[in-house]
Parts: sequence; C-alpha cells; structure tokens
Amino acid sequence: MKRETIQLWAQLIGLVLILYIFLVSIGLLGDSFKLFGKDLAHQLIEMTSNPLVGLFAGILATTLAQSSSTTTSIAVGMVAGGALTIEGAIPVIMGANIGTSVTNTLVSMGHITRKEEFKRALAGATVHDFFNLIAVAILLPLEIAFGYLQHLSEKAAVIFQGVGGMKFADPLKAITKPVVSWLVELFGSNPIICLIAALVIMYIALKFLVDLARGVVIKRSERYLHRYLFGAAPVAMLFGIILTIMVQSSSITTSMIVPLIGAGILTLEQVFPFTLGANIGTTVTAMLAALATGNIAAVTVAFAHFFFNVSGIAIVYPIKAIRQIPLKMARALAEMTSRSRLYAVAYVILAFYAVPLLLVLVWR
Amino acid sequence: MFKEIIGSQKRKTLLYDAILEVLEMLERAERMYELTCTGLLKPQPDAVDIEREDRDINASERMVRRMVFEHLVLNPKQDLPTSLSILSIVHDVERTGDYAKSLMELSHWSNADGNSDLYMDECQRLHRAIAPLFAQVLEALRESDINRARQVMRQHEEIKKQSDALLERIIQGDRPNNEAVPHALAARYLRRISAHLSNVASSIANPFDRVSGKES
Repeated sequence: MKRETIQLWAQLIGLVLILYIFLVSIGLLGDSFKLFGKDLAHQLIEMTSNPLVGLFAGILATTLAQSSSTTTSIAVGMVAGGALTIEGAIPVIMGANIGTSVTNTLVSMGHITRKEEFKRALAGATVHDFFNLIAVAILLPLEIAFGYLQHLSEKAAVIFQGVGGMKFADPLKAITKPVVSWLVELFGSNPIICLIAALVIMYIALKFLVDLARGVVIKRSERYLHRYLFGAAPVAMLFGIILTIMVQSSSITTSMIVPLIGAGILTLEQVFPFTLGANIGTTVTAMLAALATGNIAAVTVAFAHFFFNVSGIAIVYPIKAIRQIPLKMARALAEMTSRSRLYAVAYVILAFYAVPLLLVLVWR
Repeated sequence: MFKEIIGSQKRKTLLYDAILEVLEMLERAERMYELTCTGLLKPQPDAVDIEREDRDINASERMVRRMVFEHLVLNPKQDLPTSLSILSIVHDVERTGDYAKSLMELSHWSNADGNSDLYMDECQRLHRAIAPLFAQVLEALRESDINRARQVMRQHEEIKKQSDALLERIIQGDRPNNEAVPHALAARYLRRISAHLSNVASSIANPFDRVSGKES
C-alpha cells in the first residue's frame, strides 16, 4: 500500500475516533448539567430569558472560542441537560452565527500592510458578518414576537421523531453512553469537574476534528473549488454547504477564500453564495451533537439553527436589492479602512468583543 | 518535477491542470510559429487564426496563474518550487506567442520581396533552426528530461550567435531602410522566441534561482 493511502486511512480512522470523543463530550455536558440540579438550571434559564443576553453571550462565547460549533454544541448539551430552554437557546445560536464570522475577518487582517489587497479581503470577509447581522436583525424580533423558529423547529423535530429519526440516532447514544457513564463515575459525579472535563474534551475534540478534516478535505478540494466557486451562484452555495459539512467548520471554509478575494481573483458577488452555503453547512455539527444526546429538545435546537440560516438566505438572497445590502455594507467598511486601517481594528474589537461583553454585563 | 505531477493519476491537483494548460499553450505557440513559417515577411492569409491563438494563449496564462495561486492558498507547503517554475514558464510561453504574432504583423507591414533577398534566406534558416525547439521543449517538460532541456539551451546559444551575426550584417549593409528594418526586426524576434524557449528549458535543467539563465 502506498504511503499516501496509508496516511489517508490513518486520517479517516482518526476522524471517526475524534468524532466519537466529541459526541462523548456532548453526553458528558448534558449529564453534568443534570448533576447540578434544578437550582442552577433555573438560574441559567432565568439569565437567558432575555434574548438579547443570549444573543450577545452567543457572540462573545463564539469569538472567544473561535468556533461556532463549540457554542452551538454547548447550547445543545445544555438543552439536553435541562439547563437551557429551546426559547433561550435560539438567540445563543443566532449569536454564534455572528461570532463565527470574526475568524475570516481576522484572517483578512493578514493583508493589512497592502492597502488595496486589504480592502478587497476585508470586504470579502465582512460580507459574512453583515449578512449574519442582517439575518439576526430581521429574525430575532420575529422570533421574540411570534416564536416562529421555535414552532417550525418543534414541528420538524416531531416529524423527525415520527419517521424514526431518533431511533436512527439511538446507536449514537448507545455507543457513547457507557463511556459517558464511566467518566461521570470517574469524576465522582462531581458536576463541576464533569462540566469542566466536558468543555475541555469538547474544545480539544472539535479543534482536532476540524484540523484533521481540513487536512483530509481541503487539500483534495482545490480542483472542485476552482470549478465550482467561479460557477453559478446556486452551485457555489451548494459547494459551500458540502465543503463545510465535510470540514465541520464555516470558519475554515470562509477563511480559506479570503486570500483569493484579496488577490482580486474572486469577487464579492462570487463569494457571497459560497459564504451562505457555509452558514448552512455548519449547522450539521449541532445536529450531530443533538442526535448523540437522544433528546428531542436538543434536536429541536439543532433544527432551529438550520432554519435560522435557511430563513436568512430566503429573506436576503433572492431579491437583488436586498442582496446588495450586505455587499454594500462590506464595501463601505472596506472603503473606510482605505482612509485609516484603524477602522478595521476598531470594528473587530467593538463588534465582536467590547459591545457584546458590555451588553451582557448590563442586561444580565 | 513535472513528470511526477503529470504522472500522478490518483491525486490530480490544480498544478496537474496548470501543467496541462501550459503544455497546451506551448502547442498553440508552436502552431502560431508554424503559420509564420510559410511566408516569413510576406502577408499571411491565416492572420485571423494567429490573432485567435494569441488571445487564447493570453487567456490560458491568466488561468494558469489563477490555478497556481489557488493551489498555493490551499496547499501552501506543497509544490512551492514547481508552482513558482510554472509561473515563470507560463510567462515565457506567452512571450513566445507574442513574438510569433509580431512576426506575422511584420509580414503585413513589410514590402520586402522575400525570395530574392539575401537576408531573407538567412531569416528563413534561423526560422527553420528554431522550429524543432518547440517539440523538444514540450518533450523535455512532459518527461522532465534534463538532457533534452540542456540540448535546447545549447541550440539557443548557436541561434543567438547566428542572429547577432545577421543583425550586424544588416546594420553594416547598404540596403534601404524599408528593406533592412523588417529583416533586422525579424532576426531579433526569432532570437527572442528562441531565448524564451531556452528559458522554459532552463526551468527543467537549472535550479530555481537560475531559471532563465545559462546552462548550469
């Protein structure tokens, strides 16, 4: 067997193993919240009863962890453990969507010393930010007023359960449960230790999962990227979905195209549908985590993540005038940075760190 | 290095596509050169074809650059010397096409009566000496054949001397400008085509920092 084939098999086995560890961490997270008892659950639920706190906590958690999968998986685990309601988890997930876009904006900073290149790269990166901001600005008030995402997701979860979806997920729970129980026992059923262990294992597993998937997928995807990213918008969007599902990280897929935008090879119009596809593709991680918990409320939250992104695209993308809004906003910010690049730094600090932190502290 | 990438059937990367595109460009440049062959410094009926071929070569050059850039963005640690060599080669191939086009334009502007002219015979001889270099460079690229590449570089040195000698004779000769200038330009253009083919060959025979240089 050739060295390359052996390496590929080792990577694939590694991927399956790490995915298993990730699912174990979700189970442990859910169990640790159950161990905390009802008091903490009530406190957390009360704290996130203000959807804006949930939203900004989601942004902050994601920007700090540099991974929306971590935030959405924690939210799913908390819902499974009864520490968070579906209603409270939806704004957190919306916040995770905004927070995840900081990564490609930070990647665009790598071009900061070359003015024109930076302008293009920043616009290409922030079009993701502005789309997510617009989607939240439209959908969060609708959610607060009508709870439409929650209703839709609950219906989808019921249908999913009705067609045997949860049974399909049973083996996932069955293979993780013994290890989760063993870990709980190992930590003396101490909720704090269980929680810390779950978060550490999850963070490390996700990091390795994404790194390995990137090694396996991205290197092999360059010909497809060349073929599909320059093609029609629906094809680019579909490619964004598939590639992100395979890599398990929208940060990776949206960041890897930033140098191509900076070099002027790709235009904003070309990358926009790809970015939207990445938004949908990233919802698979939460779904996997939810299936591992075997909890219908957790599955509902994962569906909410999916429907939120699909709704955002359905509102923003089809009509040209609306579609142009995030593009114009990204270009306007990039134009400001041509006067002073400090605007870009200020934007990142304020939008992703300072403002969310301040608002979480004020509204808590 | 190209042979391994072309020969890799399992793992086709964008570099594989870029190399194939470069080989196709070189074949196109050869076709353009052949079109100038039948009537150097004479109006050509196939001028439209040469224009199209030139446009295609320019488009291919942009495509190759894009492919190499995309490859380096996604796989920055892989095939760096090959990637940089391809960028150098693609530029030389594009220039070869440009000079073939210039020869064609020269034939339209010139009123020289080729068959009876002494310089014209010498230009034709140079032209014939350069023609097989295209096939040799193509083969050297496909097979990563260092010996063949060196052979092209040595042949270029000979062509260079012949071209310079011809140019000197034209300058020192007593022909009127409207006859001497087209021949001088043709001799120069032919030398440049040979030089660019030699540069391509040098990317196989020489280390990266000495690409476009003399045989090492």
